[in-house]
Amino acid sequence: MKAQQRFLLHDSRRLLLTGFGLGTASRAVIIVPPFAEELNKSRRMLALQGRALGAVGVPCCYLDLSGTGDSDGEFSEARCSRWIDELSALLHCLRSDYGVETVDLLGLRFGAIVANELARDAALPIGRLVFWQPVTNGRQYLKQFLRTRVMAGVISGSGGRESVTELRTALATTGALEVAGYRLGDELACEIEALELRDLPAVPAIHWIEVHGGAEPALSPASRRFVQGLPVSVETRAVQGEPFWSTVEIGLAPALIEATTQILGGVE
Amino acid sequence: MRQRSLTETNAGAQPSGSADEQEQLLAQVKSCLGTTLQLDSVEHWTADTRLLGSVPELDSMAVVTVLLSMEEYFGIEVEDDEISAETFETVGTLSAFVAGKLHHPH
Repeated sequence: MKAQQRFLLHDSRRLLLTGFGLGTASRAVIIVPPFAEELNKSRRMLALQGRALGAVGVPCCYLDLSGTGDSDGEFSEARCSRWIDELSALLHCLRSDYGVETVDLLGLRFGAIVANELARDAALPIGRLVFWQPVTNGRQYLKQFLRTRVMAGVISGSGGRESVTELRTALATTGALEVAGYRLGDELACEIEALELRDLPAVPAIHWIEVHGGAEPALSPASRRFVQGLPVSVETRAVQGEPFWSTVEIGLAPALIEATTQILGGVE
Repeated sequence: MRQRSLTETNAGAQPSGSADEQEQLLAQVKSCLGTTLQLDSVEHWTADTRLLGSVPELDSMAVVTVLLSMEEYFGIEVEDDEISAETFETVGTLSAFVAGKLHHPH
């Protein structure tokens, strides 16, 4: 199945939309992408998932959010709040241009938090939420992102070791910081830090899927505790596969595609 | 006859749970390493298996990824000043580090 590509115009920015089977059904899936390098590493999986859903008659699409991929805007100027607006605009575009009435959201990693924020807007026709290996805590996630710059010095033993705390202060003072090839703006960092996976909306179904190596994949201890603590019911499962959003060589998790297509591809 | 406690047999490791828990933790840490580094098999690895300097896939970027995967898997948070090259010396030192975080979270 060939990908459909076009630009969506929002707030004077052109955003690249990639779709599979758009216009063939009134229910569609929007994939909400992960952050920075995790997105780069996940592109193959996003396309595979889009294609798999399109092939079973479920339109699926994703946006290069502003400051990422082939869309307008600088990464250093990006904002989560703007990304949520852009996804909202995508939803309206799906309704007006492709006859879509309900949208399911598939959020990968930090995209799960973004998808959750979008879904909490009760005015939008959101059906099901699917989270792939969700990030649950933006504050810790930002630390992990900043750590990519710290570790090179630690392991090579070269003197002058930056700390994540120092980096965060430098970021607040100078307004932007180069981290592993990404120019991170302080405003975006502040937004990420303030976000958590919480206040899950009362949508028809929420699915949480994790990927693990090994013959008997099971939810991580941390995820089990997190889900147990939620006031809403979440269906969880673990599948075998590679953590493709972080692997050095392009990683894949075909079982994840299969499980997700089963969930979103028809009646569960 | 006095039984040797686990803390005596694992010299340098923190006292951290039963033998079963330690075995399970070691297996989980090996699994995190194997998956993150995309290694074919870590089954034969033991607590004494050397990591940094011996596993070519474990460069500084990989260390970041391993830390991230362990933080997320175990639900721990690692501070800057807790990590040194020594933490990643062997599977055992890494496992002991995680055990310490699990038993004494701050």
